[in-house]
Amino acid sequence: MNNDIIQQGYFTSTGANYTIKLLSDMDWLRVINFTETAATNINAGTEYFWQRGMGTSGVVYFRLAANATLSSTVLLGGFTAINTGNQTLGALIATTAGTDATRPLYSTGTTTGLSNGAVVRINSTDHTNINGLDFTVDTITAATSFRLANTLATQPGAIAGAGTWRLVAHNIEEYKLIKPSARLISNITQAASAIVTTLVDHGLLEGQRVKFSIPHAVYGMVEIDGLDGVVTAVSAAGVWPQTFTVNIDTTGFTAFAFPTIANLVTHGAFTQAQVMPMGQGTTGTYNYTFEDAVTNQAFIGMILKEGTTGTGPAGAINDVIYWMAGKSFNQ
Amino acid sequence: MAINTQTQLPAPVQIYFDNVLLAVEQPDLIHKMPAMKRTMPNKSGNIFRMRRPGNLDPAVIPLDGTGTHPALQLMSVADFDIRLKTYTTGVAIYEDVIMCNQDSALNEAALSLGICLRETEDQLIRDTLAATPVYINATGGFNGDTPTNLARSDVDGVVKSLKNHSGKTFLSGQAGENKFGSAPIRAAYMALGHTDLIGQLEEIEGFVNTWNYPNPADVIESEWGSAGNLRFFLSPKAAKETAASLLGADVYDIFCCARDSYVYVDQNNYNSQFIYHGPEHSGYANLYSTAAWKMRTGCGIVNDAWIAKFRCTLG
Repeated sequence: MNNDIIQQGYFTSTGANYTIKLLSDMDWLRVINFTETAATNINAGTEYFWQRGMGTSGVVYFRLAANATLSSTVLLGGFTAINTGNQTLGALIATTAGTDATRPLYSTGTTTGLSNGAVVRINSTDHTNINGLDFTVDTITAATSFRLANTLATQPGAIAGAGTWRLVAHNIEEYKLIKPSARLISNITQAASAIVTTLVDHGLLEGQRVKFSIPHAVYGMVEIDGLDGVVTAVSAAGVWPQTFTVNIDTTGFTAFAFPTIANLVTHGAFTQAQVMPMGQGTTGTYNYTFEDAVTNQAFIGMILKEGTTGTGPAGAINDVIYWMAGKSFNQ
Repeated sequence: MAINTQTQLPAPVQIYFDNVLLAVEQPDLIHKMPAMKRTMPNKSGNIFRMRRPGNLDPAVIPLDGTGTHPALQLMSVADFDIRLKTYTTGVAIYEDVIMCNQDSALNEAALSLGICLRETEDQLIRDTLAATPVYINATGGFNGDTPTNLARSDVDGVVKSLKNHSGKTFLSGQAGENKFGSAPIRAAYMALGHTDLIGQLEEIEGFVNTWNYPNPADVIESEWGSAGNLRFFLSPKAAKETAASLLGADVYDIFCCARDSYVYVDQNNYNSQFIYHGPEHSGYANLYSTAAWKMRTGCGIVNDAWIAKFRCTLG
């Protein structure tokens, strides 16, 4: 019986956090920055090691001087082990303020676990119109602030005071077991081919068929309720706001509005505007590629933090990174 | 008089082990019940495709008597793909356990694995239902949250939504009988919810608990009662979103299903394999046995209009 499973792989760093998806659980992970090993950069991390029990910390081996002498130290927060089949919400963290903008910026003393593309759940005493909803965030300033990444059609209507945020998922890959999945809508343009923005990155691909639900007039564009269309384009990965284009002509439709704080007071409880995947279209590169089958995409893995000079095992842009993971019988 | 007690004469065997195992938690697993069940033959790929033809427009224009054919209609279809995947887990039991323990460890493992398999299956279906359909918030309750607690108007709203799309009911209802405290039960859609909703359901206007059905013996363990045209089946494993309401309360997803709204597929009846390997398979010293389950399945919604993800909070 194989009780000591070894897996390995490599990738080229984009300068962002990198998620390793494993075929099995792991008890240790070794990461080698091949580019920095070949180079002679002082303080550059050449190798990283994590073992179960270390939490999000690990050991980094780095070059002390321009020669080959290596030293080591503890690296904090470089590794985040994940199991998307067993997700729990992060702890409540205080926010002190939020801007009144279509991409509100929230001030917080702790941004641990956040990187561009992370999903958070907001609760604000003032921005009540977004309470309990999930949002993708970007523009993270460490221990200072983060911004809602995907543009709302309408700003909340007031500056926010105290509130909380909590981590829902480190990235969209970790968000939801089953993909593709339904999303709440933050904006739909009036155009021959409407451009749609969702609170959490949509995760759709060209050729996917989607259906719209606008159950309340507060959202404006009620004409699109119940219509379905095919995704004809998606915005570039890693750039926010994330949008997709759908082959529905909305030029004559009422302008889309995102409910404001005042709307909430006026209307009370209502159901949010949503878009859901519903099979595939008959055109587009996506057709009959089978990639939009409703699929359980849960995985066990490790998020490697990006970083230069030994601050993250995912390395800096264009670094070639090799990794190997193992499972111990006696763990 | 010196009396000898257990201090001087302790029993050589001081523990009697009851040979009947204690009952383990076996939650009601409700999410597979309303699903269409399909089996895909092996050697057929890993995608199960289902197709629904579109309706044609009614032809209400009479012929004009000139012998001219009216315009023909184009047919349309919608395809739905379910990708099948394999799931497994197991246990290894070292020979010391077999040698030393008086009870049958492998039998206990089989029991635990069986429960684990069905809970896995139930959770996979539940998470599929939670991820894909459009939801409807309860808005008729009094708790000031979004969504609100349950109200009869919300139940009727969900039923109306399913009926508006010609969703067919699962359960044919129970006619009234001359029994004290009973009430007739309507033909109904199945509503799958969390056991935390007990109490909330009782407060819905017109709610009938299963014990007030004309024939309570006809219901299954998980059914709690009926309101309007919904019959509620509850499980502690049903969907619950933590701190997802406007006021930060937990939100409960109740999946209200008409017939043929979603499908559960296995491949070649590969849905509950029990696999036992004796110690002779564990290496040269025959050190341990293994027991495992394995299944190959997939699940997907095939008509979003016939299933409503109905969200509510507690009052």
